[in-house]
Amino acid sequence: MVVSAPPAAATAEAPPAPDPRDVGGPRQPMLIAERLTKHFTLRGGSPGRRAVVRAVDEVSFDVRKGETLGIVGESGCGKSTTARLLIGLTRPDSGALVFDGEEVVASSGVAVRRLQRSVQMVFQDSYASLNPRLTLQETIAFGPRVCGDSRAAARERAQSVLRLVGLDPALFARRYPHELSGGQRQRVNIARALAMGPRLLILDEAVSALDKSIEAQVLNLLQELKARLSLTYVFISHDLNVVRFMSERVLVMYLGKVVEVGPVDRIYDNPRHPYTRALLSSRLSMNPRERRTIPPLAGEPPSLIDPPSGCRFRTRCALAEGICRAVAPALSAQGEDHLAACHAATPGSGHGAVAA
Amino acid sequence: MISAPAPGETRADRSSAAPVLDVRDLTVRLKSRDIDLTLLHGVSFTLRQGDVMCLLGESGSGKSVTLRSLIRLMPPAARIAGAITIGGVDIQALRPRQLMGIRGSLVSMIFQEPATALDPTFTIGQQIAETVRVHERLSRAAARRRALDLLELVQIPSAARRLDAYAHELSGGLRQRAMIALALSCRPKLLLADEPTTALDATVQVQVLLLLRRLQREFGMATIFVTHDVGVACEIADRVAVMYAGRLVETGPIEEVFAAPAHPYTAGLLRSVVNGQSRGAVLESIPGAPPDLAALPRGCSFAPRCAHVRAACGERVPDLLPVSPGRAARCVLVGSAERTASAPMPA
Repeated sequence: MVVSAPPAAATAEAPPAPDPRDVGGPRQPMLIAERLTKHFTLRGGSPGRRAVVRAVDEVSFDVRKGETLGIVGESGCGKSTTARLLIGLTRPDSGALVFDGEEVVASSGVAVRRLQRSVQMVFQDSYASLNPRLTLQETIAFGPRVCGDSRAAARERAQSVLRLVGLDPALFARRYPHELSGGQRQRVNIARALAMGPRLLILDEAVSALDKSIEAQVLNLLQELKARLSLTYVFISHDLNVVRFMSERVLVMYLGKVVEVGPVDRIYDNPRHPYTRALLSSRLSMNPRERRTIPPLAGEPPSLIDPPSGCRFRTRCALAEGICRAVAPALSAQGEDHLAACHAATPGSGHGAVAA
Repeated sequence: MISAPAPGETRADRSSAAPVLDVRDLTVRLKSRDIDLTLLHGVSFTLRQGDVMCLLGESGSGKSVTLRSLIRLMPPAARIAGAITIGGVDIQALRPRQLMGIRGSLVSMIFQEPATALDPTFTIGQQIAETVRVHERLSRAAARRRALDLLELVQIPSAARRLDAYAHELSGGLRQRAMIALALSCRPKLLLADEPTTALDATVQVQVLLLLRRLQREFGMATIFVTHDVGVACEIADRVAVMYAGRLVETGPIEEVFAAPAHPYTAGLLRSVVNGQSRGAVLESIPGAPPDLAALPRGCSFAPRCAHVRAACGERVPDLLPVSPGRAARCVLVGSAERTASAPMPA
């Protein structure tokens, strides 16, 4: 086996074993995103007057070594664009990425290449993200080959990662994606990501398309791989229960902005932002005797093309006041390691709910 | 005006005696030059007025095929056998024209993707008015009034303006509401809903589920709700029918089935739902994957994945055996001393 595996008993709670690739030390965040911004200009209309979709607007957060950071929010909140920015699939309009203490600069090729090897992504659609004309082994070996591995080494690597995700290379290496079930294909996508020897995996709705009984298998696999390979995860999902199960910290996004971030249990037990509260209470009850009776929110998120002034949630918020229209709230401390961007939760903001 | 039928109305009375829907031994076989697959193996159930049943299952289990076959909304290669009676009408005996007459009036359907189910070239108002005019021969003005009432009924804000909107001009949630308005436009006795909230965001999903629950109660429709989501089933259904590999494997009142599932597949499905397990725990999953429909095992289809498997499971497909009044499960363990490890829903 090429991939050396520390004993599986190593759990997420144990201090991460020193990693030779670790440049910045254990306390240096794996990845820092600083005021990342991405706007898309729509086609049509006259130049200069084209509509702009403000998909991600000045988003800042860090991903700590060895943790799983969950990202939740509804469609259009910018979670997938954020994922693509983190891996360099989309160039930000402004903002910076710092990977393990080193700024990733577009002009210097070295850091970008290091980022691309160290950060890998698994997408939601397991079928669309595999090349139908390549065998699984060819697909998985492609990345290592491009990065300079010999043919034999890349093949060896592909087989070892297949084994790692629970697929026997003797049975699967020569198969094509259409011969696999959805769960198996998603295992292949995970194997392909692992073939690059990444330290950070971005899982963008990676289990959302799977049936529940298969989803549980893949979640178990992801947890096991994380412990064995000392990985760090960014886990993006719309399933709030799954995010709580997988993550240590969670980031809540709304209309391209971070509205709340902090330890997952703190946020789930005591959400400070009204949107987080509404999102969490829209979870279905899972008990036919205790059904929901009142929808926590009316309406749907407004358009990203012309988002509301000030706080973007104010149009659906029960606590909205004049200050919310005038000033966009900044993230403010809500106790240890917990930030929320809400005037009503920020003393001194001028909001009636916190007036002295 | 659209309103719930008054309790004294004759239509409601007639249907309270006989079941709204009776399905006997529904079998669907897909046969063409290069394919021969049996998608459904003898599905039977009955729905009375006001019943809400969930068909719960994973992809390929046959839940959508069941729903579509009820109104013969299947490709020509599908052969539908068995007896289907909706509101006293023998669906299998209908000619294509007659079938069109009952679709949208006696029985109607809402789909997962309103963006593709609605016609992009007509406004919402035109589509509802057309349906009403075809089935009830109303004047243009009356049909448009009905369309407006319906949009208000499904709580579309500024309904008068939305009447002239095209599907692409509406958000996902409003589009699904418009589709519900269209489906209810002729007050069907039976509503078929195929994963109607799956494509919606969490905060919108709750709104639409609550709306459907209210309308179902007001109209007194029998409703079949296809879903793969245990949470959605908990919110909407009175009864649940769990499907696996083209068969019903467990049926019964949802509270009882979820509190103490009798079939190992139901138990496994409920246990693999992530809901409150502590972080770092190993999730209980069902090993393996659903079987290939072209090569089903000889006996119980779930046997290869089942922890309670025994010799009898491979001999023949178990019958749907009564568990308790109103409940049944297709498992050799039913009635035997060894109950399956029942999994009460995590609190």
